Amino acid sequence: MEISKYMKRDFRNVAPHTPMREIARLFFETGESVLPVSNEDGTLSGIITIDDFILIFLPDYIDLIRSVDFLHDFGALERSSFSIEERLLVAEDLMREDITPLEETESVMKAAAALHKLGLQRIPVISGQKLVGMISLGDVCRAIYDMEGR
Amino acid sequence: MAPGTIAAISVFILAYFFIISEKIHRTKIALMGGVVLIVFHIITQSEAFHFIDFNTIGLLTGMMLLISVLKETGVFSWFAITIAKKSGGNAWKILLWFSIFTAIASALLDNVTTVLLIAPITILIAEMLDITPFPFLVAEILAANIGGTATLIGDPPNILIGSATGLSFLDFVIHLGPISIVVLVVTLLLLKVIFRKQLTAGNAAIRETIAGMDETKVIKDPVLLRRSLIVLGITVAGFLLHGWLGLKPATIALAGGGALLIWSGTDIEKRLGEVEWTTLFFFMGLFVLVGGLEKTGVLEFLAGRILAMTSNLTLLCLCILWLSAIASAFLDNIPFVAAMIPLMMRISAALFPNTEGLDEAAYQVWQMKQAMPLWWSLALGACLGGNGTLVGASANVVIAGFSEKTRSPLNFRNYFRYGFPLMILSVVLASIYLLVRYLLAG
Repeated sequence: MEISKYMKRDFRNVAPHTPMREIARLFFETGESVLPVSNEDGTLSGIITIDDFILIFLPDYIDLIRSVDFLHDFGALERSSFSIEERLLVAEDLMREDITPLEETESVMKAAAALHKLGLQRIPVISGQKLVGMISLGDVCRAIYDMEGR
Repeated sequence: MAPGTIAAISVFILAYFFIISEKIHRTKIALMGGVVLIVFHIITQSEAFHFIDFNTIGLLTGMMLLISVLKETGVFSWFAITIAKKSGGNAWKILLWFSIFTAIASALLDNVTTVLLIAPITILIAEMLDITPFPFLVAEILAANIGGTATLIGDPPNILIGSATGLSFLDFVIHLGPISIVVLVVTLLLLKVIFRKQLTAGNAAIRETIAGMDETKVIKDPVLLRRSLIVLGITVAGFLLHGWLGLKPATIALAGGGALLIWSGTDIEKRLGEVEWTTLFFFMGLFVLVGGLEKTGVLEFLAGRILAMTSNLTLLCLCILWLSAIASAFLDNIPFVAAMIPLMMRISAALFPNTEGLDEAAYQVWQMKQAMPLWWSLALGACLGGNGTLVGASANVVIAGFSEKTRSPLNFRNYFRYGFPLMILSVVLASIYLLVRYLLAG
């Protein structure tokens, strides 16, 4: 089961200088949780996850609190946390560069394991250095039953 | 001097130098220093084990186990949210009651755990109120160290002093409790004046936000909470009565920790994983290092020189108080106190010799009662001194770490402006207290 057979070749990507607003729109419109960042020559630069994106707009110390069950709202924080400075970030400010992409010749089983280890919904697939597709947990499901693609 | 003596002193000085410089973790140095003393036959292995004060180790371990279960219950968050709601969004009232809560919790538990649990909620609430968390965090550092001063288990210097002298938990509460309360009250009143601009009353929107918090949601397991509080209550009662029961504080702490481990049905691996082994091994190494120094006789020599200068108890007490306060403000107070204790033991024995022909046990008790002002001076100086700078105590460092995630992080300079003068004031108050209660009366 090669990745190339099941991955999606039709995907949206962003450039390193794509602004946050555009990234937000893509997350909203595509419903995806991972966007690849690629350079002009088609090489992969990194990925942006929706979690990393959202985390920018949450106060840092939220990690220190075990649970937010007891909160109703964040009071003054609701007005201040979406600051101008953070809205002006671009893709490369928040992308992850430490993710090893998969090769399209590798197996779907490896893709499933990698996604599980990383806790991600989907991951870029490369051929040579070029970004050629994205494989998701959904694609892995399709591979398991060898169903027809869309 | 014998070569062994020179070697022991060299190892001690070198180890303390590295501990103070903080380039390598203090536990690694203490352990290695202790081992070096054995490897070079300066002390034997059995002597080394003999030097380790297992009363201190047991007390720390027991309390760590108890706290590791207690903190799971959410009781700290519950108190914090309840206090915030009762304050109606008034920032000064929140600061006041958070500080009092921190002081009480630090007196009964350890300071670091207390601030680990209270500081995140404090930051959140301050931000919800649109107030900088800075005044709250400064107040909590001060309150944690002042609260810790009041009891035998509140702060490591007190644990060391209590274990070495045999002074009881009740002795600490009776002698250090009153001055701790005075220092806390004065400190909080001054903070109210100092931060009057930041500490506003809060408007209707803020009151609504605060009122919207639901403290019942933080208690995930009411049964565990009830059991933890019952065990904590019995343990504290045990501490108050340990002298009367003829039990050491370590026995009380381990009994409490052990009982809660069984009654809570908690996972033992997880609980033992939360025991702060670095702290325990630091103490063990330190005991061996100081033990090596004791064996050389250099402490007798130093005690003799000090007593040759003055044998005036008042002067000695005030010197110890101020020296420990200044030292603890800039350096780790645990190694300082660990080294001071055997030195002071010798000074105490020389000041209060056994002239009545009492048997050894009775004489020890009598001597400790006579020497109490010396020990209270050391405890007050070492504990209150921790408030002087941002590196003065572990609780300060923890809060500083949390503050990095806020809009106004604490740093050495901005903390020093408030912490150091308030620390000096607290030591002035402690000096007056010692003079009035112990030194001038006689």
